[in-house]
Amino acid sequence: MASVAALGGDKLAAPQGPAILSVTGAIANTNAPGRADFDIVNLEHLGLSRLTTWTPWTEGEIQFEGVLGRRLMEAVGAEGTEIHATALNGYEQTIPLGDFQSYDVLLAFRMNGAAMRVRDKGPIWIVYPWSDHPELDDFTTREKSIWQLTDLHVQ
Amino acid sequence: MRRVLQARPGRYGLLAVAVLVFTACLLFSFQRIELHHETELRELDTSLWLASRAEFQLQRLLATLDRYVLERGDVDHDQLVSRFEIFWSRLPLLIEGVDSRSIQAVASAALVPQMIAELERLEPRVLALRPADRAAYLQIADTLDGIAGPLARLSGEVKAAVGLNSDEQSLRQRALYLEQAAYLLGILASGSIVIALLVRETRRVRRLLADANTARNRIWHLAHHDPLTDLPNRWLFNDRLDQALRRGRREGKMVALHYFDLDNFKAVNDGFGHLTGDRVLVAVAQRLNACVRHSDTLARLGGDEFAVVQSGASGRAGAMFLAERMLAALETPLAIDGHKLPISASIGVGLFPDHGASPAALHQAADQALYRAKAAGPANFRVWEPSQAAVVPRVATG
Repeated sequence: MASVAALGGDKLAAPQGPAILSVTGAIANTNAPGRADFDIVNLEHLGLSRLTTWTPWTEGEIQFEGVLGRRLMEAVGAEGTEIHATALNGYEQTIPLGDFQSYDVLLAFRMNGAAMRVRDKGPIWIVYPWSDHPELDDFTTREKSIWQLTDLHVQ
Repeated sequence: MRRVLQARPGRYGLLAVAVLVFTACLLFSFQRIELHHETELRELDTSLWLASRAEFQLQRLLATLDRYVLERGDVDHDQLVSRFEIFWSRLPLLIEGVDSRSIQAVASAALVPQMIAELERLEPRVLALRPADRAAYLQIADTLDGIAGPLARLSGEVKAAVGLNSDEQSLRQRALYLEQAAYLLGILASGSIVIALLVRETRRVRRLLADANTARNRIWHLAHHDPLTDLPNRWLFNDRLDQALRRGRREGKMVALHYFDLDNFKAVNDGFGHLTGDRVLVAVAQRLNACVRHSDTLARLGGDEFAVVQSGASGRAGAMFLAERMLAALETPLAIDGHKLPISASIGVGLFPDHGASPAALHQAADQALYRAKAAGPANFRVWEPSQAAVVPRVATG
């Protein structure tokens, strides 16, 4: 968490390992021309959060680990109202930035303690807190809960 | 009537609230039905979609595999592994979570864990695969083809389970939706009819009340007026006389009572018939009406007898003036049924308070004065004089 304070205004640290997430669009902080790339270590440095919830596509409750959507947006200095998200398989969806403010939406990259492979809906899965917020059990939210996430475009 | 008018805004307010609540409930129901309809269609979609996506990703994996092995140069090993992983990720989606409940219920769903086990066995081979390794390629492709069959079967079973095919299903959904919409429209229509009926009934009742009021007024009028001339009858006349005397007493004003009797009415009746006689009475009433003021009461007491209560008469002179006017009004002969009928009358006048303080005393004074006028010859009037008090009682005239 100590490194978080150093982020404000400064350039983001560039990933040392393979980038798993790329943020573009209306952002103030970058670490490459026009974008902010993240590997697992970069993401962990933003501050790890845990979320235990059920999901519409799994059995039982699962403990997810990752970075809060809100925290990531803060780190890249997002200046917009929505995010255009793209997944590895080409799936695209628009998520209102308000979702990240209203709920503890997690960009999860560990599931029950293990890193998420593509077969496990990795490398990143946008998970909503369904167990804590039954009102999120609707189709719009399901559509926004993107797995195999690779790109975010703030607009 | 005033109270009815005042009660109206409240009643309409309540009606407006009822209509508003009714409409709101209806709109809400419509919305709920629409939402329900949409949800059902989507639930249906999810299962079919999940099944078809798994098939699709398998086809993409097979195509990528072919291109990688054929060394077309547009697919590298990482992309092949990525496709392999993406297809793998679709399989658990068929047997886990609430979105795939319809899939979990079909027979072929039991084969999905075996498919995943096949992928686990296949994984080292995929990771070790190099272009041009035909033997390894054929093994992998054979295994994947072995998965394609059951997967297609599963897809078919899901389609059958959720409603034969989605077109038919959505048609059925649509029919159901229309049915519900029609049912709500029915409620709307019937509600509107009830409200329309209510408004109509309210209007009808109000009209009936108004009619009853008119009828009551009419009955009162008939009971208090002479049907032939439409002048006040004896009852109403006596009532007006009472009122006039009370007011005269209160305000210290004079009231004159005129008795008016046609001189030769019997001759008209005998000579021209009762019908003509009636028309003469109506014509006389009209001429007398033109002489009196609005505050005076002209009445027909019966037969050819008329009377006037002259309120606020300006003394004896005022009373005499009216009597003269009335006699003068008859100077021109009446034109009835093509005949010119000369007709005259005699008038007797009694004055309050000079000739009597009670209605009865005043009646007597006027009657006696009339008798004296008759005695003086046709077209004469007399004001009661004290000296005539002892005169012989009047004999019926005609």
